[in-house]
Amino acid sequence: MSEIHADVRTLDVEASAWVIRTDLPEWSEADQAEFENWLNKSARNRVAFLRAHDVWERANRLPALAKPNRGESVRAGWKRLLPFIAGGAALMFAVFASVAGYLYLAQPREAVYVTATGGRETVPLGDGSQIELNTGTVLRVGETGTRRIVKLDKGEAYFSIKHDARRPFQVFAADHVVTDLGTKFEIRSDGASLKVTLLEGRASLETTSAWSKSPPMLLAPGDIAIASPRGISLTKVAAKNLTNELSWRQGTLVFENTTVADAAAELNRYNSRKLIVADEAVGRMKIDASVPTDGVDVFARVAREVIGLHVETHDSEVIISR
Amino acid sequence: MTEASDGKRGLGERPQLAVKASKVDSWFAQEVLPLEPALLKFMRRGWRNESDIRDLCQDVYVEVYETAQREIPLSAKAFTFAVARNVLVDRIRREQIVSIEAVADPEVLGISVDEPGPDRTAIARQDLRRLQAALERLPESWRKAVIMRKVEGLSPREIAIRMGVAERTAFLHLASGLAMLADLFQDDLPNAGSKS
Repeated sequence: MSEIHADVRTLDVEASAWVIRTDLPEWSEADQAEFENWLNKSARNRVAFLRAHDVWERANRLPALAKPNRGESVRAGWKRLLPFIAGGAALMFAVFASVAGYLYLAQPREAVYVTATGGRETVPLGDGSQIELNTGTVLRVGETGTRRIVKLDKGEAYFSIKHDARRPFQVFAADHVVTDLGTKFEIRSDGASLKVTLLEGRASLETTSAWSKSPPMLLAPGDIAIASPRGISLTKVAAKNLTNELSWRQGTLVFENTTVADAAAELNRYNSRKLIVADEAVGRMKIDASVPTDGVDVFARVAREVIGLHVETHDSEVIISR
Repeated sequence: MTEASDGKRGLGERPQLAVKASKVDSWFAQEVLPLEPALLKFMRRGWRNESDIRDLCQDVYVEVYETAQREIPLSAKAFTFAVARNVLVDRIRREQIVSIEAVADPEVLGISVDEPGPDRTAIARQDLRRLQAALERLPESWRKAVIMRKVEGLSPREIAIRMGVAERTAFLHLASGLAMLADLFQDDLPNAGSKS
C-alpha cells in the first residue's frame, strides 16, 4: 500500500467503498461487525466515512435534478440526464488527461489502475517489476502467496518483470493468460482479443477458456502473438519495429509504411478529438511519420502542408479528405 | 442479511447510517464538512505543496472530531480554523520553513469566522449545482456508475451487466467515483468561503 497513483486517496476510496456497501441489500451482520471495527479503529477512518457519506446522501437529490415534474417516472428523469452525461465526457478529457485510481478494498486485495484517453501511468510493483499503462487502460493488480496476478481489462500495458520462479507473474486478458519466464513484454487487449509482443526473455501464452485444449505457446523475443477465441497466430518481427511499437512509452507514435487510415486510428486511441479520414483513397496512402501521442494538430498540419490534403478542423473532430 | 430491504430505496427516503450517527457525527457533517472549501483555500494560502493539502485538511478534521468527542465546540467555524492554524504552524515548524503568509489570520483571507450563513434554500440550491458540476467532472465510467446507482437505483450487479464489466469493477467504479465526487464537490469553488 505504499504507492498511491491517484487524484483520489486510498483512505477516501476505502471509506467510499463502505458507504456504498452499507447501502446494499446484501449487507450482513458479519459486514456490520467488520465495518464497525474499521470505523472505530481511528477518528481518521470515521471522518473519511462521514465525508463520503455526506456527499452520497446529497446525491439522493440527483433524481430531482433530472425530473422537473412530479408525475414523471424515474426512467424519464434518467433520460434527461443523458445529454448531460455526454457533455460531461468531453469536459472530463480536458480536466483529467490522466486519471489513475489506486483502489484498495478489504478482500481480496486488488489495486486498480485506470488511465483516461491520452493518459499514461507507470506502476512500480514492490518486487522491482514495473508496469507502464498506455492510453485508455484498466488494469488490476493482485497477488496471492504463490502468484502475482494482473488482469488487463482493456487497453495496453508494457511489463518489465523481475522473474521469481517461486512466485510466477501472470497476466490475464481476453480469456488468455501470459506467464512470465523472465521477461519484458507488451500486451494490448480490446477485451475480446489480445496482442502480446515479447521483447526480452521468454513467456508462455495459453487460453483460459474451458473449450480449448491447445497447449501453451512459448514466446521468444521478436514474437508478436495475436490471440482471439478462434486461436493464436504468431508473427516474427525485426527488433527495430519493436521499438516503434513501444514508442508510446516516450509519448510518440512512429509510423513506418503505415496507411493513413491505420495511423489515424492509432492517434484516435490517445485523443478525444478524432481524426476522420473521409476518403478511402486517402486512407490507403502509406506514410512515414513520427507524431506526439497528442499530435492531432501536427498530423493535420502535415496532411495539409506536406501531403497537400484537404483538412477541415472542428472542435471534436478533424476531417481529412482530398 | 436483512430480509426486509430490497436494495432500492424510495427516492425521498434517506439512507440510514449503518452505525447510528452519534451527536458528534451529525454535528461534524452539518457544521464542519461545509467548511471544507474555505479550509482548502486557507491551507493553500499557507502551504505551497498542493499534494499535501488534502492530508492537512484531514489532520484538521481528525483533531476537530476528537475534540468534539469530549465536548462539542461552541462555534464550529472559529474552532476549525483555530485547529487549521495550529496544524499549519506545526507543519511549517516540522519542515523548518519560514513563511509569513502561512500564519495569516483567516479574517485576513476573507474567511469571516462568525458571519451568518446564507439562507438554507439558497444553500440547498447551490449544493445541487455544485454536485452536478462535480459529477460532470468525474471520469466517464465512474460517473455513469454513480448515476445508475443514485438515479436509477441499480445494484452494482445490474450496473456491471449494463456496463459490460465484472461486478467487482462496477463496485470499484462506484467507490472511486464517490471518493472523487467528494473531493470535487468540496473543492474548486471560485468564491469558496467568502460571502456571496
